[in-house]
Amino acid sequence: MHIIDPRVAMEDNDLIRKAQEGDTDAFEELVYRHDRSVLSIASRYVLSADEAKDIYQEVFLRVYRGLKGFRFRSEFSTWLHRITVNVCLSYKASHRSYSRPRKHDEEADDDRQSDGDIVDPAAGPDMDAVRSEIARRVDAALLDLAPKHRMVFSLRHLEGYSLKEIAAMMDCAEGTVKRYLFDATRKMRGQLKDLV
Amino acid sequence: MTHKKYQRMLVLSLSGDLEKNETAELERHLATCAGCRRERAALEKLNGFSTVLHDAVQVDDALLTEARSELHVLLQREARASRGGGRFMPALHIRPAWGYSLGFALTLVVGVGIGLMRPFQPGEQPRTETHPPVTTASMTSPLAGRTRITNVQFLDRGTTSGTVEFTFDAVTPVHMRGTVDDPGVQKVLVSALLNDDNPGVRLSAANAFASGTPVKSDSAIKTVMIKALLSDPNIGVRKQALAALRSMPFDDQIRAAFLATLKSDANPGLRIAAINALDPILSQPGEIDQSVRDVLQQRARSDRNDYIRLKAKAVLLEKQ
Repeated sequence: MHIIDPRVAMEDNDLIRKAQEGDTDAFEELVYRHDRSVLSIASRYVLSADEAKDIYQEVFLRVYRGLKGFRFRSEFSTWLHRITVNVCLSYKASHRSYSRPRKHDEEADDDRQSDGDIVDPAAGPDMDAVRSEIARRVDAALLDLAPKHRMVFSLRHLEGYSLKEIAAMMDCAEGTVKRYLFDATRKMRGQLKDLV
Repeated sequence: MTHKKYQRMLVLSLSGDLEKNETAELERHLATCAGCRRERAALEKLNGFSTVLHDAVQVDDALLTEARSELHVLLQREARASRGGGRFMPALHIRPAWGYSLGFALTLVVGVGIGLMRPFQPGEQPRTETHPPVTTASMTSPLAGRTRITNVQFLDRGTTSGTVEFTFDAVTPVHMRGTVDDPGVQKVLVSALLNDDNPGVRLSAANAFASGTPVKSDSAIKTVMIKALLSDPNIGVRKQALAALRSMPFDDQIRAAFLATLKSDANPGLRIAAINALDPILSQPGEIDQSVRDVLQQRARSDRNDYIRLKAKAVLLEKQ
């Protein structure tokens, strides 16, 4: 009987070593274990699914090129997320002129209310429409933040990473992350003052 | 002391990042400051809105699949550029066995073509055949019945010698009946599970292992099931592979496969099945090891499915 490669049950570090030796199946296995979080971070950071995919591809190409230099001093996921954050931040810097609506923007276009017309979610029957409108406003406020502020707010509130993890991803002190989070929250509050 | 300090503390408090002593200090201040209480109410509302956005912008499986496909192509190009040749075995669109078959067939066609175009040299010695040609007598049985002949390639057309020589593929339907413990049945089912392009066939093969007589702890079958669980694109096949693995004795390989599924599978139903399948270690008294704890912490923090988040949190609390 044909014996199947047992790498399917390997730990990350074993896969990394294999990939460093040129085993590309191991590399793809590694990608599939971690790529959802990369795409999720990218999707929350940029404006469209296409941009999120651009970031996803750039991240894993960098990982592929840099994997031989990975020395196991940190978790692979931390290293990967650090690359993701860097790609996101630089992506925004070089694509600042692009501004495309998100999917839920397009869907809500036809019956969008004015900014001041947000209603209490408990008051109306069409909860989905209300939630969609709230999401659109919060999304717009988020996209208006400075890149690092947006990244910290998104990683903490939307992705659920701890401050320590975010500090490792952004390669900065935890205190700096706290400051970014505070500034981001303050600005978001200002943008959404008619809602809060 | 200004209120700005407490406003900073409020932001950290609502995201759960305030130290215990700071929390006590903040509570004391809030008891006496109406302005900061209003600020807290506003920030709580903002937090609620973030949850709405969290739910609105989700990575769906289709986008992930699309991203993986595009990455696969990019990696192939990258590998070719860096090594001057194909390095990546196609893993997403062309299943491995199909890839090998295609490569072999192309090589054969090109080889035969070159051979046929090569002019015959007078006085040249006959070629030594690695596989001597079979005679019609020995082919009687394979050619009988419903055998289908394809891909006939002439080596000698018989124009000078009167003898024709050719190769061909003979495909014969085989009817097999047996239990999944039968090594012959297992071999065919495993091949179908790993190589068949039709998801229905792969699903039936996985189903046979999952619903038949409990499979003996055959490490090759187990490895195949793990591979199907972790890499088959069809959710039904992955689900049946997980069911088959649950019927096998729980060990480190199976544990790692269930953990990887819980951590990475795009389908919430399968992640639920995976966390339930980990019960043999989660329900045991005492510590859980760090790799399990890491995955549970990640799921407790960010899984989109309520059941998984709650179960992961409950286990972590219990194991503290």
